[in-house]
Amino acid sequence: MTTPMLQLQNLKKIFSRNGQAGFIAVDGVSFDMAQGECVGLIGESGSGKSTVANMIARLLNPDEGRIILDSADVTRAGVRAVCRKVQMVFQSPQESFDPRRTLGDGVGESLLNAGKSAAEAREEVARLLEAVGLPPDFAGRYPHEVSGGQCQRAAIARALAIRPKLLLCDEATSALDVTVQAEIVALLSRLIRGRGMACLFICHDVALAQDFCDRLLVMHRGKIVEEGPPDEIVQSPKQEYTKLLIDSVL
Amino acid sequence: MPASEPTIREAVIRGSSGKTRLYVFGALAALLIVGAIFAESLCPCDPYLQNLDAALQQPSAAHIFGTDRYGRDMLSRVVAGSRVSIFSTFLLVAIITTLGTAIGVFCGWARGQADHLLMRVSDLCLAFPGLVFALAVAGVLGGGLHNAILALAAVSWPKYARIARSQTLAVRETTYLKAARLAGCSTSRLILKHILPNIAGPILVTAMLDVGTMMMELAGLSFLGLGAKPPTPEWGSMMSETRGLLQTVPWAVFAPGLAIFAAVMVFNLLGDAVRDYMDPKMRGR
Repeated sequence: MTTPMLQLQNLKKIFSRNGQAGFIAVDGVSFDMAQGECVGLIGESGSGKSTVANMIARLLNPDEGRIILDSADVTRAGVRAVCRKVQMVFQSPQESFDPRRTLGDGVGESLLNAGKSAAEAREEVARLLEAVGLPPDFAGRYPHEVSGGQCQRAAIARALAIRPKLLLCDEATSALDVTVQAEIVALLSRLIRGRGMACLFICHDVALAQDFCDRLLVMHRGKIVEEGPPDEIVQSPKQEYTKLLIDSVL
Repeated sequence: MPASEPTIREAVIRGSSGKTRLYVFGALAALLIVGAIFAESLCPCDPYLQNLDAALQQPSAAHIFGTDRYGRDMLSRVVAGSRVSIFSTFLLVAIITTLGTAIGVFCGWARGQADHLLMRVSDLCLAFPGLVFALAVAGVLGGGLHNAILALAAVSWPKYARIARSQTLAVRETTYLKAARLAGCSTSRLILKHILPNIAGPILVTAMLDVGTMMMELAGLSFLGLGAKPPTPEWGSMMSETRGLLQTVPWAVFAPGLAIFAAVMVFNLLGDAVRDYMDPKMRGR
């Protein structure tokens, strides 16, 4: 059996306030992801899904447990150590771009940081924008000048720029209206499968995750309560919470 | 009837258009600055030339603001004094803005012990009445314009540090900063390209509003003999030199006084206009 690309072992995160132990956001989460696998992480708001993603991207430090990426322990690594392998698409597209910089600046930033010249980055940005279905002149636009869907396309282009092995989609379609949502999901699906990337798809929409993912993880109060193929989970959920979650959507 | 652009008079008096006010006061401030740059060529007489025969003359065609007790032309001294007064104020504001912003961004970014320590130091500076503390600092350092600037800088930076720190704390939690970190930005790039441009607005506006205040305080220190030294023409020290003559030769006090009044007002109103213009909710009103 091949070693998984990502392993989370007993990950725990407690948000403390004024030095006092407070809210347990993530409580002993463990799962593996294989190369190119698309895993859906579903659950209600506040169940700890985004905290897991932030810990994998190294934007947050776990209090316990280990994160192993490509056979290397990155539990204490900095963002810059993992950012070439892990990228993220955020929930609110407009807020994920610096309001004082153009979309092109945002998309090309990781390329510049990786040592490409400005000219190379500009060319690559144009190619990336084309790949996500945006005209090249969008590189010169500011986030407030484009729609949410267009901005999310640019955010996907930004996440793909550095050719990561793992894409974390943190509620990437939740802030968009239904028709745009479908377009973005189709785009993500095409790009992820086309490039052989693994994807952790975080959302609270069970139907969407069922269509999109190879495997589903159901999270409730910081714990993974159920895991399995999407159809099996949706059609015959074993846990009471999963039934509630599915009933509330379908 | 289509809405027309307000006249300058309307704009100044009623403040009806942010943009017009910005242009009017911007132009006036630019006039003062250009005047200060070319002060030497604009002076009708040599501001240092003494003529004891013509001492304490009333305003006349030859000397519009009259002469002081050494017979020096007051208009020339007011014009020449604009350079010292305006540019030392700019230098002071530049120092406190840069220093305060640097400390504030560092505290907001690093947090922890260094932040606590620096913020307590800034609290200490804020706890004293500014000018009194500046007097004490200038007293310890000795007189002179350089020391007056240092004294005022020592008490005025915390305001900027506070603003920069709170803004930095807000920006560092934004999603776009997370995205920038994920793009592999170094700390210096995060600060220079993402934090500073996004916190510059309020700092710039505070600096604009502070130009007037700092001009007053610098003139105040000079008036008390802790700033510019005679015979250097500086508005505060000129008022101080002639204050004993207020009842007999009032024009010698009024000339630099009016200059301070006019310059402070122009820079204050420009600061107001910039603040209103930068506030999107006020724009277009």
